[in-house]
Amino acid sequence: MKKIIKLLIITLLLFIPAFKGVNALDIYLFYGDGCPHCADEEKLLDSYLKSSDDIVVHKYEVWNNKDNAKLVKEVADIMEVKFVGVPYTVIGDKVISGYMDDSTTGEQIKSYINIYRNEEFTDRVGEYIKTGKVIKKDEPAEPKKKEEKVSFKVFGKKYTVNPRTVSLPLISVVLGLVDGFNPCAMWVLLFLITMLFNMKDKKKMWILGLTFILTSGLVYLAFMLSWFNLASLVPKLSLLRFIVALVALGAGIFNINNYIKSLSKDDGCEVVDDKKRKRIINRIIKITSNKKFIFAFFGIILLAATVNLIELMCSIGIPLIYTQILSMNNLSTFRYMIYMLIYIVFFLLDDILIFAISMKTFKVTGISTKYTKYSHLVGGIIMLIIGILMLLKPELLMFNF
Amino acid sequence: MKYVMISAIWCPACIITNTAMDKVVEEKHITVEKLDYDFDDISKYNVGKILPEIIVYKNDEEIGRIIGEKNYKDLCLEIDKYEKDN
Repeated sequence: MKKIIKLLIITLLLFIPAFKGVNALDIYLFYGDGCPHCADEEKLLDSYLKSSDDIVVHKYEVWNNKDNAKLVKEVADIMEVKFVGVPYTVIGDKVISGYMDDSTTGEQIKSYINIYRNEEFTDRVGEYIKTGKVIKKDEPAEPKKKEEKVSFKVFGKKYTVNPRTVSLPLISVVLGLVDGFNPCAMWVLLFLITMLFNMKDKKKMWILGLTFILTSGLVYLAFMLSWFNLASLVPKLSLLRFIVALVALGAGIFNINNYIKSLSKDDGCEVVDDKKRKRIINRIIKITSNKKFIFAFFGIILLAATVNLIELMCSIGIPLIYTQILSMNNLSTFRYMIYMLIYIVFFLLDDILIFAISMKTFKVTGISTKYTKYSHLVGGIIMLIIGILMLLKPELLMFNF
Repeated sequence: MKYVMISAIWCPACIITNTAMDKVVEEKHITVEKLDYDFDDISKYNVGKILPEIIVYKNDEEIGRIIGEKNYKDLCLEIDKYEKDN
């Protein structure tokens, strides 16, 4: 066990230097639907940035969308370059108004992209869209802080890290672990393991069990990606942040209340919804007793997908809040994916351990309900803190790598 | 003294209590009838909403219930209480 923990911590630390090398860049393109010059610019950006995952083009349609039309004027005030028409493009600290052709404006855009990919600058438009904070030219977003480092020991070995660099990986690990202890879908895995024992074929048991766990992870990933895409489609990010903050506060209070209630109850499994449980139990029996492995395999995928979709409502708070924190951090697509994968790995960790131990010992292993009770408390406190920060101090959740 | 333990395959608390119960049975030589919440007929036991549930009988008459997850130590204490009192 100690070895596994050590390995996980080292793996996590290995990610950190890899994140430091590349500069993510956000480009803000204000365009009009049907405008030919805008279409030319979009075409150029699409082909030039095809393989650049670390550059994100945020597009805002201003002819039909009143909010975006207002936003472009506000952005023009901030950038101190008058808005006279579309396309209006912000790259780093530069504004490109209009688009002549690929050889003139196109080349200018490319050169700005290359400059701001490698240079430090304050993303004033991004800051305004996310927080509503107006930063004028030559005024830094925050005074540059001295790099602080923290040292700690893991199994006698000393590690030194920058807290700003580890914040997002750490938050991914902690939220993933807390979310993983959510018992909503765990019962299905335990029942499935017991039924798999009847198959007697170890190879098939491993394949079906791992397929169930991996599909559960993929459903979660799909949910997080959908929410992330939705978040990037909403022009008023501050409104979305406000809604998620309220969800975080509500879920936090709900979880802490659950913990308090559980103090006066016996520790154990609460029996709810007999009909739904029996329906799923019958499906698992049917799948695991199917003579044709291929049917069992696809049956497990379908089962994992439906169970996790249904049970998602039970623990929607943490993944929602986590995705919102990621979307507030202006990362490249590659980094979003890496962080989401870290979250998913730690979310599935308890399932993987339970499954692996059960398969090795041929005996079903369960996590004590005492731990799930504490996970309600820890999860509740974390959600409450994040909810308050999102409302009052959102900049503290933007780790600005 | 007879004990009827009602548990479920999918319930982690039942798995933990079951393991403890097996050890107690081996050491204290008590009689335990194990029933499954989903697959056995348990309608006559009037089981509550928290599993596992252990019903304690003396001369076919119910004298108590042990409800929820119990580790070996807690289960021993509960069982000893019934065994000594009766």
